[in-house]
Amino acid sequence: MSLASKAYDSWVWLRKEILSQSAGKVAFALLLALVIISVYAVITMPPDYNRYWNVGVYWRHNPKNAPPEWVSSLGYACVTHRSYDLRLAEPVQVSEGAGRLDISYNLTYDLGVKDYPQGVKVSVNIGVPQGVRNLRLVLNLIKPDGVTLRRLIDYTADFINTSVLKVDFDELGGLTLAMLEAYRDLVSRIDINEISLRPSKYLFGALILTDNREVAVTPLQGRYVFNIQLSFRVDGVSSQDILKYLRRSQTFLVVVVGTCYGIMGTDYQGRDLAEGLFYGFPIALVIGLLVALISSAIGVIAGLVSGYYGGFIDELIQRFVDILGSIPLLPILILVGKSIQVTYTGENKPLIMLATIFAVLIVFSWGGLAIVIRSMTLSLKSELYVEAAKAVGASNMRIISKHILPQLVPYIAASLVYSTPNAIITEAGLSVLGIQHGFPTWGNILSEARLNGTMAYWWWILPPGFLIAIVSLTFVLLGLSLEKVVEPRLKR
Amino acid sequence: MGVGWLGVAGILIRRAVFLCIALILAVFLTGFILGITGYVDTIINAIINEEVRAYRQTLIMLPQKPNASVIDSLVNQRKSELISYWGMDKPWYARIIPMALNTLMLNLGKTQSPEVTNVAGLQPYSPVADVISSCLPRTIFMITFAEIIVIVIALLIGPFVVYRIGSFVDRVIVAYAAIMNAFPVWWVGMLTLLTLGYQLRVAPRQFRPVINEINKFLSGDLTAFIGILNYVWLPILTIVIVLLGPWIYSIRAMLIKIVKEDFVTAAVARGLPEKQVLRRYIIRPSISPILTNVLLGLAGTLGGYIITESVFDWPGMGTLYYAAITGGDAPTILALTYVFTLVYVVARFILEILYVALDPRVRL
Repeated sequence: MSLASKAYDSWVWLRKEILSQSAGKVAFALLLALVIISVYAVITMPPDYNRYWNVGVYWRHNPKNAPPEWVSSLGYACVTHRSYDLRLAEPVQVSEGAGRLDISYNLTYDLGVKDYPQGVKVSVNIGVPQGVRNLRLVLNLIKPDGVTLRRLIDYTADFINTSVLKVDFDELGGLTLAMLEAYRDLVSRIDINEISLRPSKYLFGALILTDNREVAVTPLQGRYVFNIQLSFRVDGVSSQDILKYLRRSQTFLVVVVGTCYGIMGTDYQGRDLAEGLFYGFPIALVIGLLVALISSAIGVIAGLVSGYYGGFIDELIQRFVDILGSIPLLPILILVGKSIQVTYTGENKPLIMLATIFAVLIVFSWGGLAIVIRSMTLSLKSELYVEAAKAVGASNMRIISKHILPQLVPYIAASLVYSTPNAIITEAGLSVLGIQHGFPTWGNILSEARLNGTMAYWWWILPPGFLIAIVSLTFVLLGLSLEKVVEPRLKR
Repeated sequence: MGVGWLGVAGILIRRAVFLCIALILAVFLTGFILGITGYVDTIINAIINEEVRAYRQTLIMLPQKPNASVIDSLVNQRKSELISYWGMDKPWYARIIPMALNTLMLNLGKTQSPEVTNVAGLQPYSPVADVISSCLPRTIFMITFAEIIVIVIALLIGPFVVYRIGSFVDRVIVAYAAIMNAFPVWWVGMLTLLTLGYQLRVAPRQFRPVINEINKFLSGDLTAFIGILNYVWLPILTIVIVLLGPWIYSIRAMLIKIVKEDFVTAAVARGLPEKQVLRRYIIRPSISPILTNVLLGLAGTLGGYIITESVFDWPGMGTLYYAAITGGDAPTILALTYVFTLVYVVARFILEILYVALDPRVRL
């Protein structure tokens, strides 16, 4: 029988033993789920996702520090977040005149709770056909009480040397003027600077004159209509051409930034935590498994060599393990991580940092297994069937691979299982300290929560921790069920 | 066949030698990492450049401003002074190796980074020994205390469950241990801070002020103990919640091994009372693995909770170590590595002696 089929047999046996216990069943189900999610994440997420993650501009349309949307069912007043893609929207009006072409869109937004959205943003990155000379873009807002705020955006672009318009309106520059026009009497009673300081309060608020002649602003619930007008000055271009170009453009967005977002909420930069957490799955598993696999492999080899050959090499390995075991791992790891973080300036910094952390973890974590494997090898070596195999002239390799290694499998598996969560937790801990490599790992998300969120946002702190715990729990349960294989006396 | 007293002494001396090698290696490894990565140099260069810039600024702001060439020569002179003060005119090994040797000889030197003395609550550039001796009690008050509480509870519960393996209580304890083993202490710390500190506002959110309370307490004002408790209860609660599960589990596991031995079964069969069996036949033989866990666990409290301490911003040894690293304070980093390793190594050596004392087979 070959080594591979022997390994397969012991795997089948192990699986049966593990699945015979309830802890093992749960662990297997969890492990399967983790692997499936990780594979799915690897397939669907771009490989250089950390570049998006760390670029603030990419997330600018999202609400900041927003809890997940489902908190509304817990009684939290969530302002709906809505993003309107004008490329797909149907214009309400298209008119062509002499050298002029007008297209307008109406977007409706329902404010259902007594709160203000975080803002309104418009993002334009469109192309126009030859013959378009200029474009005037106007945004009006019709409030539920019938008041119209005119020309919140009034922007004109020339297409002299270019056929592309790329512009972002993160603030509505015309708000103060529009307010003056719409509420002349009331606005004179408030500080005009207040309007540009808290724009969404005035965009989505009702202005009421109180009894003591002051202006009170309260959120105005109901249906809002955003009216976007595009007026082109053209030479012989039809509206169909323009619409075709608009549909094919890069971005044409109107976003009403709500106060809740997605299924996991956002962080201080508006990053979608669900995406970051999702991307963290494969990274966590890879960190855990890779460190565990390599350090277990080293431990097994060192232990086998030490126990089987004995003598000088045994002494050397054992003393080395002794010394390594006395050096505190975490301080060294923090030191190495921080040094590389500060001094390394080259490309692929995230990878280099992660690899260094890997290396240190591996170097310091094979010793325990080596000691166990050595002592087991020592006792197996003196078994009669090993002596017999030696007597008939079996080579050392053959004895190790056929007679010793298979007996060690449960122990190796147990060590693998126990060291996997260690690496994940250690990596997360380093991130929390501020030693960040740049990949959106769970630890990284937690650390940003600590450094930038003043620890007050639960949707930012709970999920990464629970995910780390679930992964560890998977392996702890797996270990518990293996324990009864390794130590049959525990069975009842 | 025993080895006799002489042999025992030989074994102990050999252990002592290797533990000393580990100690020396730990300090030199730390120094090596600091030097070869250029980390300390990067930080010291930044400090020098900042001081030179500030010096130039003060020269320019003088009432009768010296002319440009005078300023330049003064600035250059200051810069070379600083470079020789920090030893930057020598390669890293020429600075780090003597520093590491000094650390090993307990000449810990002076701190270099204000961040470090800030954690300790002392004046900038205070001696490293002072900084460590002011942070050590704070770590003992929080982490070592918490660990002692955990150990005491685990030692009381462990023997209780060992007779009830498989019972409901036992299953609850195993489940609790498995779940708590999965949560990092520092994350549960973030959680308790979030809920008890920020949401419910029953716990402190800032822990640095504990410095005053501990200082008062150490200078003889015993009433400050209440003040310390006011700060320390949350971190201690956190650590106890998390560590209790794994501790009970490991004590249980050690006792189970013995419970299944034939001599215990025989003792029970002879009808000896449960307590007597427990004391004589179970606790006695498992005392040395339990002692190993307890001693190494306690030794680990002094350096192993860097992340937890920094989550609470607790001004103890862990926070100090991290501040020393971010501040690039080589003498403090080396000294702390030394202390962390020393405590561990001493604990291991005490264990070696205890093994000899407790296990008659070694002495025969």
